[in-house]
Amino acid sequence: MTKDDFYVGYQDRAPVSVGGTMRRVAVALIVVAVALAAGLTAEQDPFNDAVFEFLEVKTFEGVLRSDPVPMLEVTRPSSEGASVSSYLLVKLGKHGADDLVDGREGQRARIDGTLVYNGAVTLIEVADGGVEILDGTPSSRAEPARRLLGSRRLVGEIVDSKCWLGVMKPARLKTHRACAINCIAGGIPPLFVVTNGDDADVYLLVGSDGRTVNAEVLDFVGESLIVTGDVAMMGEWLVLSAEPTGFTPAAP
Amino acid sequence: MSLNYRAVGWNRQKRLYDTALVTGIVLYLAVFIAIGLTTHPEASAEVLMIRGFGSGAFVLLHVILAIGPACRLAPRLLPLLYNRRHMGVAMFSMALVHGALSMLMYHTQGDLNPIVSLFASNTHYDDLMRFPFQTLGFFALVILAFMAATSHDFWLANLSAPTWKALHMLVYVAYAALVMHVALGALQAESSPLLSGFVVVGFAGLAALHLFAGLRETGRRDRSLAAPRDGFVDVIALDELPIDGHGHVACLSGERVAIFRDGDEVFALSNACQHQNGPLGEGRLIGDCVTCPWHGYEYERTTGVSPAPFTESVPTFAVELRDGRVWIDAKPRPARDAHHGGEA
Repeated sequence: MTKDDFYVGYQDRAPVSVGGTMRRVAVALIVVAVALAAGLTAEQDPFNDAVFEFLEVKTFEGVLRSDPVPMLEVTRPSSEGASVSSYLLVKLGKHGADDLVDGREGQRARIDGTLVYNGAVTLIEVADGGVEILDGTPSSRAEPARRLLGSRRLVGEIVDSKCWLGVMKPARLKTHRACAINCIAGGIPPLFVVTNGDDADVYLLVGSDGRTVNAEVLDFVGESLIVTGDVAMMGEWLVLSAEPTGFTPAAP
Repeated sequence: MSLNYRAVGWNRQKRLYDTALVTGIVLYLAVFIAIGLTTHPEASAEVLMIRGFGSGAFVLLHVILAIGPACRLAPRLLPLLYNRRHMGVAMFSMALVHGALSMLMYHTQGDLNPIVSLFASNTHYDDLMRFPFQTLGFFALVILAFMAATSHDFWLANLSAPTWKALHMLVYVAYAALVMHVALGALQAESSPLLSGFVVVGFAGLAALHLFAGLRETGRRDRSLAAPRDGFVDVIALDELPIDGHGHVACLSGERVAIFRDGDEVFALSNACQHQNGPLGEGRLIGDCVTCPWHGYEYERTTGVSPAPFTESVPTFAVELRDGRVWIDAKPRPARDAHHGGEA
């Protein structure tokens, strides 16, 4: 710097040479920052194509089920005749819907809520006060409750069903761990997700005796695990019955 | 320099600085979100915002931390330093948006208070790889909030420069926490080589820059001088002192002294500006005042007192010319109480 180059910030103008240097530095910094932004955002890992119909409340009619987790059994017309779908039920926020189905097993209800779906499985986020009992007479299940597929040893990750099915993306691994723990602790059914490239098999996770295991799996959420248990098909849902005491970490 | 405390004493240069800063931030966020939505149409806007604001703040923090040593190595970059606090407050604001959105998404609407949830949802504090990385981000955000809140000269004056400076060195603690926040969070979940590369290269680059600037500073400081005679130290030949307003820095009895020459007159002041300990010896003698290169604080060359109505002052040193050489009293004259003639 020569004497003429000396920069004093509170003066109105910088020396010409200093101003020129600063213009070049500012442009270079902005170009590098923008290039970094483009690279970092383009290089993000893929997001799944799950859907959360945020702010879109729809009305559903069906039969309330509490086994193995709160669900609404809905009859849907199709070209091959009527079919039955079981939609998971959760409440707003990070709260499960156990209290909405307690004592209402098999009752016919109308539910206002928001659809969340990922692949073949669907969840309804029930709106506040969104349950209306249409018929208090319990009805039996429309199809056999479970079809046993056998024992399996699976490598995957425990996630919460609400976020995984579309409320949050991504809804797995370390960055989502605290959220998933809060959701599962709040009663939202846990899922065991086995990823294979872009595909994922999704299992409703319950204890070997069919009990809910939310409190027992909190320590394992968001980590790669080996889980051995019995797998059954229940409607469109795969149900994995396994004991959390047998969960073991998988090699990274 | 300003006498009265105002939020920002705007001038043309500050407006240009902030225009470039805001332009850079807006472009970063716009590109991050627009390209994110194009390349990942399934992504949710809130996650792109969390990532955009978080990564943007982290990138900007690297720029902020690089400015100090870069200016030591290339004084032409000093204008970047002048309003660095604006950059710091902007970086904190981005980090705050990142943190607030993350809290909203991941820790609200559950059974726990969000702050309790932050610390209690993931409890693997005893395991590095499973460590609750969000707490590290929160810790860094608290430091950055404290720094942003005390960034104004009002706090600098009231806390005293050394205290303020020491407190603001906490930015390095915040940076360390943020490196771990990213390493134990995003890097465990994302496979992007650019992201991991940026964290590694950013850390290595900042470390190298600081090390290089520090070594150069140590080299300057280590130039040995002869032992004092009659309390005075032989510092330099008069002819070796610049005559164009540049200064010369010498180390006397552990204290750095800024020395300036005007014709056959030589003046010596403490090298540490009272504002932020800026190196006065790298400033300029302009008229009767030595001007600090960092923020333009001025000190009258013989008394070390800022011109009225300003009140800063720095210690000065007695100077004698003996046989064409500059001798300086190793014992400083205390800083004067500005405009009252006595010692502070």
